Amino acid sequence: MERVMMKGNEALAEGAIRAGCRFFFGYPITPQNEVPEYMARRMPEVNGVFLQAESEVSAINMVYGAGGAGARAMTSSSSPGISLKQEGISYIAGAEVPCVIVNVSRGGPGLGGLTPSQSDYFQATKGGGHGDYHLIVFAPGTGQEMVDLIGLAFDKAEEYRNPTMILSDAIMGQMMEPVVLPEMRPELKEKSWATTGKKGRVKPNVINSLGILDKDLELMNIKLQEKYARIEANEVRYEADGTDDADLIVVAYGTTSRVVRSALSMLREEGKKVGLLRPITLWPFPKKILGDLAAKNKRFLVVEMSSGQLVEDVILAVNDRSKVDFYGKLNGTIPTVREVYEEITSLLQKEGRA
Amino acid sequence: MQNKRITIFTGPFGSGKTEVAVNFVLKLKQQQQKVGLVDLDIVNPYFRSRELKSLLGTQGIDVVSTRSGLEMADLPALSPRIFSLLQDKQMRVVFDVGGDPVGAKTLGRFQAYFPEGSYDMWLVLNPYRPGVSNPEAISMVARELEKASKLQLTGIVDNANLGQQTNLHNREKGSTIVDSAARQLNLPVVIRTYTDHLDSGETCLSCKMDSFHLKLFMLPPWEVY
Repeated sequence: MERVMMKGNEALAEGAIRAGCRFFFGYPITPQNEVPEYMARRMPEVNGVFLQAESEVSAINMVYGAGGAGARAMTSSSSPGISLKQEGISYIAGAEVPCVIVNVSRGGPGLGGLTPSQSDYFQATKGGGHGDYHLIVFAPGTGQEMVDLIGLAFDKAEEYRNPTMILSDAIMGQMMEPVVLPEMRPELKEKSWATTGKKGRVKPNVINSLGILDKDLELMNIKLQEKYARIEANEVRYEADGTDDADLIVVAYGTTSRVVRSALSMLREEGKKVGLLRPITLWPFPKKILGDLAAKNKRFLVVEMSSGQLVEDVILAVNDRSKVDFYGKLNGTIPTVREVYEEITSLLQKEGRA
Repeated sequence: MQNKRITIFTGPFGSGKTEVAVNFVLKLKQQQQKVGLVDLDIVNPYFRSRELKSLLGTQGIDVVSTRSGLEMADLPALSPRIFSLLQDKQMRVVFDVGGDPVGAKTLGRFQAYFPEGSYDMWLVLNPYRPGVSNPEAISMVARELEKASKLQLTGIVDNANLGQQTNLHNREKGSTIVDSAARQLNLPVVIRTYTDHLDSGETCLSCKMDSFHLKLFMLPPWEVY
């Protein structure tokens, strides 16, 4: 177990390598450039492939090809680049190809800016491209989780034959924290479905998302939906900190969860009953725990760097059983510990719980 | 504190150049009238010393970077004011250079202002960062930095740390690597940093060394109230 100081982006890259990723295809964009830069240096050391494609569209289709041949492949980009990849992602989801897509998000819409943002939540969790599909979306909250969750993202991608996404942001990608790196994974097992040649089999393996004949498309979609139901039943991950005896529960992920945590520790020192519910998977979403907490008369505050995206899922999960407030920052600014502290304090005062 | 008029902090990406440079100018300002800090980082738009322009300005330190309002623009643009600092012989100038050889390359255009013996260029090292965990790798990086900057390194800054997980044990272990690299490169260790993350009981580390207390400025948003 070696402990090193890594920027979030570097932690993602090394975490992917340790998880057996040997194919990286990408295209430069701030604030994720440390991922391809690290990969360019590191891949040759592990006999892997780093390729800077001519565009984001090429890169995601290279991932489609490598993933279809059974390799652990990934791409990484930031918001506008992820938008460009959406067609490929939809194809990959339809063809059930495992792979990992990293979004170190920045402010949008359009070209936007370079500051951190959480306004790609809808795109990540509700499809993004065309058709009825889902990515399994992980939202790391620490440098260590960058390493751990990208490893898990590769495992789950393979287990469900489904693309997975790491939704990070400019601050998570740039800040430096000590991380413990896992051992390098041993050789990965061969996949029976991969397109690596018939090798004596009678039927060729086919990777495709086309469903144009008869009831092919309906059957393909039924199969996908059954898979998504299994994922929703088994893969929800979250962290609940002090939610049991809390009057007010703050829901936040990634960068904002760190800010919220600092504010909550100040409030708890004052004896306030406040807790944190941090979704680690954004899809599948931790709706059951939120529903259970709502039934216990807890009220909620959602803090995010968007005009209100995560909050919609919280409202759906709470389903009118309790009150949900929202505190958002639009692209360009990160909520400060003081702002979150004051927001919670004023909410508690309004409720007469201060 | 060194006497050369120009001090350049260079080193690998994420080695702590900005924190060291900012602390260094603040200490310099206590002894000197005219002190300037040049933010030469055009590699990465995050955590750069220009973010501290107003704080350092109140201390009377002249910070030169991109024009105000363009701090977050991803532009490889340098201010012409860098020349006015270099031409002012009364001005003590500190350069905070972008990471890696690609960042050091920017120094090349100021070469005419840096005749040998007139400047110090110090290599900031944290051996807990990827790619510089052993003396051989560090020597290679040092040579690449010299080649890219067209300047000679004159000293090493030992900034071995694991952030909040820094303790006496890993701090000293890191210093061993830095010391051994310094011997290989035949360069003196000019600064050893320590931060408040070292428990007060352990700051005796500082008694042993010609130590340099590092007040951290480039904090993530959740560590600032």
